[in-house]
Parts: sequence; structure tokens; C-alpha cells
Amino acid sequence: MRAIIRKELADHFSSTRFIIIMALIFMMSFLGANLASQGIKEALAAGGREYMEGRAFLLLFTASGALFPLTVCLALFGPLFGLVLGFDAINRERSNGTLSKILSQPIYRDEVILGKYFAGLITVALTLAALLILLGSFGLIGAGVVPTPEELARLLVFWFVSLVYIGFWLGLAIVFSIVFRSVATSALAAAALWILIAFFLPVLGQALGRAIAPTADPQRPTYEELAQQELVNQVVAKISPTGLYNQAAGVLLDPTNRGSSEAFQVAVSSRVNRILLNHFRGGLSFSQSVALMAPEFLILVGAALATFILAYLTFSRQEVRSI
Amino acid sequence: MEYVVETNELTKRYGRETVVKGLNLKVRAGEIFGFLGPNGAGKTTTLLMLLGLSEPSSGWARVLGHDPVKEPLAVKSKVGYLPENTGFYGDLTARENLEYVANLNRLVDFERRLEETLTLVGLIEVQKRLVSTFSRGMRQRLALAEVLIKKPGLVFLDEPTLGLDPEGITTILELIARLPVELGVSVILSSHLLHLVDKVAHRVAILNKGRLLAMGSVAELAQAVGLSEPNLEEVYQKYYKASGLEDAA
Ligand SMILES: Nc1ncnc2c1ncn2[C@@H]1O[C@H](COP(=O)(O)OP(=O)(O)OP(=O)(O)O)[C@@H](O)[C@H]1O
Ligand SMILES: [Mg+2]
Repeated sequence: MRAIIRKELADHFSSTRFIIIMALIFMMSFLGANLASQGIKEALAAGGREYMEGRAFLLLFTASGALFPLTVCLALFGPLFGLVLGFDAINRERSNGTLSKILSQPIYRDEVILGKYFAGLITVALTLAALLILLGSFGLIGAGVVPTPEELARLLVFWFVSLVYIGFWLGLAIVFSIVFRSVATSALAAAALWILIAFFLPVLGQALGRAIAPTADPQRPTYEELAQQELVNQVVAKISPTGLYNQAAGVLLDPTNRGSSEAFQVAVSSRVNRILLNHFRGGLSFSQSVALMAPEFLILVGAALATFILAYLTFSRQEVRSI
Repeated sequence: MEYVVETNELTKRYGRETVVKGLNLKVRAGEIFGFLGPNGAGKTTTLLMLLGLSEPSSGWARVLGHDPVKEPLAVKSKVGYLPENTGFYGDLTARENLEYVANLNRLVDFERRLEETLTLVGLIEVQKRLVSTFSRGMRQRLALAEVLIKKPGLVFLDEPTLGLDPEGITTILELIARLPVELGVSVILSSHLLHLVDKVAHRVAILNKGRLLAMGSVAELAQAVGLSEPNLEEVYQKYYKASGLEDAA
């Protein structure tokens, strides 16, 4: 299996598509971090030090004023990354005529699928780590903020959550590469699914919310109406990996984020209220945040495991002749 | 007599269709064994079962003393297989392709072996070139190198001359003929080019619709069907027609 992992890693890191998607993610999150570090600097200068205590560094990755904070970038393009690494894992070897050659060497079939999956995961893990370190040092130098140990711990968990999230998409892509004979079909299916979950589902959640709890007077929606709409939105987000990831990442990287249970309250309360609320209550501790996002995280882990097992089973059950 | 391959009533069914029917093969050590039959006769299916890549529906096989169903890894580490439409990683060099196969076989310190094998198939000078720039003939020779790198005791070559020009065919066949003599490798050679198999094979088996029609040296088979001169092409035609008549009856 080591031989397979080594070859796949070399393939990934030298492939054009890896470089393109990396450039995309790096560029967007750098743009975001740049704007964020400007904002942080100004806020610090304007005396917001107290307000940003213990989260100034994290703001680099999440700041909502910025164009594309890292979290948004990863939520949207992380799936694309996973899909791109796996959508042709098996079918390309099949159409190249290399699959039967590999399988006639003294290795188990499992090793082929495991090797490809782990190589993909390692690629994602290394890339994410590089991204976090680069962005972090950017903020360190650009905005002069030094991370607290707690912030570093939050980032570490965030790294792992992101890995699991992208791992889910990687597993799915490998399933596609086994089920679809043609590389083109597999790519198309992966792209369609990405668009559906990343772009269509959130819109669907809002539309569904409005359909279930229509606002009588669009000018002045009532508290109940908005709360109900937000609830539907939350439920839809729970069945989407991107929604789950957004919630988990939001809680992890923002100590003042109290998760989905409270989100609908926050959504309807005014911004001023929210800031006041947070000011009085202070942020959550690291372990509180981790506990809060645990359910979302565990569902993500389950989903990622499910796609991996599906890939494993479909590949080992496939009649060899079709290889 | 020592057999490198022995099968007993080996059978493969796909759904309701039986594509290999009660095959009893015996391949001797050190021989080149021609494995013949029209398209769809079941040759590839049989080779896959011998390698443990496809499970027999019934019957059994022994390959170099191992049961391919129970010990596929033992079989695959000793048997080299050249699939009928084999491919390569076009973005890697010939040498890198070969190294990958060596790694998959868990070979260590194979540097010298790599050079020897590349020299044997005549690709040592172009080893650093990308396989995507290779001609069909060079690819087939590289395929042969990949089969030989693991030091096999036995090789299965499924139509190794497919799509080659006459010169390419001669080169490959000359290489194949050297295998038992120089490397002590037994060969099962599946091909439709009867006049060429005739030149290199010690014994042949003729298959049609999954059934074994005949097995033996060309001389023996010619005698059995009453041909004065041993000639594989005529032998094959006789057996093939006879099986057609049987089927019609
Ligand atoms: N997965 C499968 N499902 C159903 N039938 C199959 C399958 N694979 C092969 N067959 C059938 O098995 C029969 C034998 O095929 P096989 O490839 O072994 O023949 P062959 O002798 O190698 O032919 P060729 O000379 O064309 O390579 C064919 O009729 C083929 O259609
Ligand atoms: Mg065949």
C-alpha cells in the first residue's frame, strides 16, 4: 500500500488541477485575510482591544467584513478540492488499462482503494496545514496580532474538522469513480452534486422556510414568522454537509458564537442586542465551544465514514472482469 | 511430470451463461503453451481464474503449487500477467512505470534488476522517456519488462502481439522464445496468430465456447486428426470444424 500512496501523492502534488484549485483557495483566502488584518489593525487602533480580547487572531480566518474569509472559502471550495482529488481515481486507471495490471500484482484489492483514499486525505491535510500557517503568519506580520494558546487550539480542531469535511467529498468522489465508467460522467456528476449542496440547498432552505411560514406583511415580518423560517433553514442546513461544516466552524472560530440552538434568536434580535449580549456574557471557553459543535462534527464524521465504506464495498464487490 | 498449471473441471458462469466449461488443463514446467481459440472462447476468463482475479463457479486450479482462490497473493507474486489491453502511466517514464510495478511487488534493491530487464527488452536507451511518446511496439516490450521484473516462474501473455507490425511481432516472439531457455520461465501464450504460435509453442490447447477441444504438441494433434504434415493452422481448422459439426448435431 505504501507504493500506491507514494505514487498517488506524487501525482496529486504535480497535477495541474491541484495547482489550479490551490491557487484559487489561497488567493481568495489571502484576499480575505488581507482585508481582515486591515480591519483588525484599525479596530485595535480605535481602542477595540478589549472587545477583541482572545479572538483577534481568529478574526483573520472568519472576519465577516472581509470579502472571503477562510471559513467561507473552505465551505465552498473545500468540496471541489475533495471531488477533484478523487473523481477519476478508479475509472481513469480502468480506461488506461492500468487497473488490471495493478490488480495482478501481489496486493489486495483493498490496498488500491485504501491507498488512493489515504493519499487524498494526506494531500488535503498538508494543504490545509500550509494554508493555516501561511494565513496565520500573514496576520502575525501584517496586523501584529499574536495568537493565544486557546486560539491555536481552536485552529487545530478547525483543521481537523475541515479535513473530515473535505474527506467526505473525497470519499464521495471515489465512489463516483467506481460507479461511473467514464471519467467525464463522473466529473459531471461530482460538479452537479457540488452545485446542488453548496449553492442550491441553502437557497432551498430559505425558500422552504418562506413557504412554510409566509410573512403576512413583507414590510414588517413578525418575530414568530422569522423564527419559524430560521428553524426550517437550520433543519435543512443539518442535512447538508456544508451546513454542518459552517455551523461547526462558526462555533469553533468564534468564541461568541453560541451555535445553532440560539442562532434563530440571534437572527431576529438586532445587531446591537447581539453585541450587548456578547459583551455581558463574554465568550465561550475552548472546551465549551468544542462541546457545542460536537453533534455537527460527529454527523460529519459519520458521513465521511459512510462515503469511505461505500467506496470500499463497491470496489471490492465489483466483478473483476469489468475491470 | 511436474505441472506449473493444473486445472480440474474448471468452470465459470456469468449469470446463466457458462463461458468456461469443465476445463482440464495441464501445463508443464519450462514449456511455451499456446492457448488458442476464437474470440469469446474463454481464454481470458480462464487466465483470470488462474490468477485468482476471478472466482471459478466450480472446479479447481493449481498454479505453481498454489490454489489461486485461497492464496491469490502467493500466485500473483510468482506469476507475471500481461493483460490483453494493458496500459501505462503516460506521464511517467518507462523506468518509473517499471519501478512502480517493482514497488508493488515489494522488491528491494532492484536497481540492477531494473537495468537487466530494460536491457533484455531493448528499452535501456529510452528508459528516461515518457511512455506517452512510445510506439505500440515499445509499449508491448515495456509490458513484457513489467511482467518479468518480479522474476516470475510462469507468465501469462494474453495476445502480446496485438496491433504490432510484422517486425514488432517478430521481436516479441523472439523474446518469448528465450524465456524458458534463459530465464527458466514457463509461458502460457494466448494468440490468434497461429503460424507464429506454431513457431514458438511446444504444446497447444484449443478452446471453443468454453470447452477444451484438444491439447498436445502440434505433431501429436496432427497425427490424431490424420494430417501427414504437422501444421497448427490445419490442425486448428480441423478441430474447430469438428466442434461446429458437434454443436450442429
Ligand atoms: N462480466 C461478464 N459478464 C458476462 N459475460 C462475460 C463477462 N466477461 C466475459 N463474458 C463472456 O465470456 C465469454 C468468454 O470471454 P473471454 O474474454 O474469456 O474470451 P477470449 O477467449 O479471451 O476472447 P478474445 O479472443 O476475444 O479475447 C465471452 O462470450 C464474453 O462475452
Ligand atoms: Mg481474451
